[in-house]
Amino acid sequence: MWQDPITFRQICHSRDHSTQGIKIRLRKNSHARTTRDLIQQYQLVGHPHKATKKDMTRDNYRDIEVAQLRRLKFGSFVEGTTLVLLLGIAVPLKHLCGWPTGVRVMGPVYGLVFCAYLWFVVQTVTGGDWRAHEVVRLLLSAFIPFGAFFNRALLSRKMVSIRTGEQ
Amino acid sequence: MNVAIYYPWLKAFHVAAALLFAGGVVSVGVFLHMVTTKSPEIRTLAAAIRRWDHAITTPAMLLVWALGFGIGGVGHWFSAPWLILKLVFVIVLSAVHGMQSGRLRRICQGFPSMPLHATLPMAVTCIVIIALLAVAKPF
Repeated sequence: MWQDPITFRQICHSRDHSTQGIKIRLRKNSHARTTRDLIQQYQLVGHPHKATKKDMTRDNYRDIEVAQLRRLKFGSFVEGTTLVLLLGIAVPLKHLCGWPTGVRVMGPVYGLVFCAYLWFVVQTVTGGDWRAHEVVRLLLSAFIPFGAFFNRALLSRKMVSIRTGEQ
Repeated sequence: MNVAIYYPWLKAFHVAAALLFAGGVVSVGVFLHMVTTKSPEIRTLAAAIRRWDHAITTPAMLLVWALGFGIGGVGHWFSAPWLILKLVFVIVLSAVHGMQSGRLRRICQGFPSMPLHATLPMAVTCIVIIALLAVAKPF
């Protein structure tokens, strides 16, 4: 459900005249409740007047943490996919059809992706507030086929909680 | 195609990437060893170091791993005990770098941060042992 459109000119004074009069809409899940929130949120979506990286505001914290979780989510997906390719395709082809090239290629690739994923987990966990069972779940899922895909829900929940300011 | 002819180049790039990686880990270790406040200047400095870490140190680490796998495969080194031991220290060094990176992110976010004294001696110890094992190959 969309809220009423708000004219940008009504909520802030812009130095760039070309941006005046732009109508923006708030999504249903928007956390903006005040004009200040609205301006900050508008700045976050890539506007020329957006806050720089040097401005360490609450929204910067959200940006940094969400970006980190997004990277981990991608790493988790790649790790899960390479493990499935290795165990589901390359290994059966080697043992059933006598074609070892798949394992020879996918083995090192999976090893590299696995190490990178573990590194991402360490990096993410060290900088954020994580419970022990969440960390164990992230680590164990790397060893189980399709396990990494179940991280998606956990990481999405974390991202939502950061966006809504619960952390 | 005989990939063995590329062995010296793989090794050269591996060493170059390892030097960049080690330099990044040690310099961040020194920074985290010294930092005690969460002043805006420290956060700005941490943000700059974090950008360097993202642009140089982390790609160098990934390159070290990738080229290390390549060298191990081409040179048939994976059965050598010294390499297994070296891998343990490489994993520890990578974990130390992950911890440093996470702590840098936390400082950039403006959270109060205690000095991270442990990572610097750990990193230096790992780097020395890795260098000794890689060059001397004692067993």
